[in-house]
Amino acid sequence: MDLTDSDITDPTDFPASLPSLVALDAALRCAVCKDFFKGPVLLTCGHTFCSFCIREALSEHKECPSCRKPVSDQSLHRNTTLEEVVLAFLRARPEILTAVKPPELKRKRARSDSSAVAGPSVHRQDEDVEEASDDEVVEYSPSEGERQRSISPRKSKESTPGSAAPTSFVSCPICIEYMPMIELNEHLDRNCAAPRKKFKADEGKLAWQSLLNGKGKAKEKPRLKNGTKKRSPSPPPTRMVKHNYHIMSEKDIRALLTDASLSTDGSKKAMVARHSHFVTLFNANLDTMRPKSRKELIKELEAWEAGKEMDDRQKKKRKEKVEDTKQYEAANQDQFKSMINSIKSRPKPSSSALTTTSAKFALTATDETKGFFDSSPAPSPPKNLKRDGENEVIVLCDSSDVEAL
Amino acid sequence: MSAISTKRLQKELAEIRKGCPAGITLLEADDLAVWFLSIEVLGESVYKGEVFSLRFKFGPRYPIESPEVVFVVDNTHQAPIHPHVYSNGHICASILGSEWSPVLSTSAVCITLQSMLASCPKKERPTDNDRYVRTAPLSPKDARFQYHDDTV
Ligand SMILES: [Zn+2]
Ligand SMILES: [Zn+2]
Ligand SMILES: [Zn+2]
Repeated sequence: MDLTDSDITDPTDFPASLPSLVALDAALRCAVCKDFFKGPVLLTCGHTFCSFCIREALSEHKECPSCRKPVSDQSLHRNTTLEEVVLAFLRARPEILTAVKPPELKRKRARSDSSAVAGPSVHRQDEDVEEASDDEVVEYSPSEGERQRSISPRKSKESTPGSAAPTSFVSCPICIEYMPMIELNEHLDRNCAAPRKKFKADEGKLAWQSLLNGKGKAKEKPRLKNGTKKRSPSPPPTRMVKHNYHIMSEKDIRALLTDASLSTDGSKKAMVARHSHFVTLFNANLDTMRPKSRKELIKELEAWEAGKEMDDRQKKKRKEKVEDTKQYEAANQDQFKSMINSIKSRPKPSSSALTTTSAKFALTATDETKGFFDSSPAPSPPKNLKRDGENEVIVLCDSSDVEAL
Repeated sequence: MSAISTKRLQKELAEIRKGCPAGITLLEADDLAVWFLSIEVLGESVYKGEVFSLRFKFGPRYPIESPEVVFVVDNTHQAPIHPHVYSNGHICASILGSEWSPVLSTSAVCITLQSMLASCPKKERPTDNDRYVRTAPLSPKDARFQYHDDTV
């Protein structure tokens, strides 16, 4: 997936001057993925996570990631009400952002963006687009009535020649697809699919109004209902279970996969991993109001497997441990030398804070040092080993308790 | 990188770029899977005036799995002399191993390490330093530490 910074939504998209909105946005996010709750499930301790996130976390440790109280897969309960709250907030979010952003702030940002700033900066799509259309005047006023009136001055924008779009663009907080803000409502209703019809210009405005004063609610409700009816005409499918794979024969596992119409390729280990991960995907999917099709789940499974294969290959490489320490040191010594040379050959940065320990990094602000870390010493392949791998070394912080290695 | 770890790392990065905790500075994150941060203890401590560098490596299972975190050790960088930090930069801290939780983050790790340094009364290497460094795996994630201090 090709992700850029601009696809990322964050509580600090809201101005710091409105901490209550920052907190609201943060409260609707899962502590594991930092994204909006997707198929939220409630744990017995009272904490809530995305169904997928908690199932992944429980595959490592059977405890709540937040409070460490014990949790089992079976004790998870869908939190449908919270999911509705999240979806309502997602509909409102772009409108709120537009409404609360004072124009002075936007102009200030536009200016600081255009002046070359050393180092990377994070761009947000909504800001960028808003900044792009100079004609757009969003008047800022703290009063509710003012806010409503100030939303979406589309008329002026539509007549702006050369501007990228007639309206603000946003990334869907769920699938990160980039779209006109006004299409987001329907996009969410259609489970992140493309909109059927052209959006009506004031739909988003109505949705926002309905949040502010309850008007337009009549319009919102039937839409939700229709969607639900369409999606679940039959009784909900039953959950899949993970099995005690290690006591099962290869044949049994193949049968399990065939039952689930999954591929039976690969080793027993690969088949077990495939089934187990599919169960996680399948069950997490059941916890969402907008479940994906089986086809989509299988596509996700395949993507996961491809990634896992790559990871496993790297793991193997890393198992080729450093046999000869001296040789290793010698090899690194070469890298040290080339690094020192590369430092010497670079112009000294003007930074006064150039101490020995920060010398290497003080250089990194300049472009010419790009790729500098490609030659950094003591490289270690990506971490990935299981905690109980065969190659483990037991280490004690206190050698009074040292056991034989 | 999986979609989840990528998205989560981008969020953390955006947050860190907006403002690091005091004493922590993002040095480099050109590669989303490898970040460098500098860390120093503010105020009175045995490390007064010293700046250290941390390297974070994130695997495709992050944040379900912990990141690999080491102090950078090379010709210009030293690991802090601390009873839980080996001279090769490896750190014996339970939150990087068995006590990791996916709700933790890069800044949470930095803050924990900062307070680990701040509370150190005396500069000392781990007593088994030499032996560990001699036999240590490339990644501390491949070592099994026994944590003697549950607070880090
Ligand atoms: Zn989540
Ligand atoms: Zn909990
Ligand atoms: Zn979407």
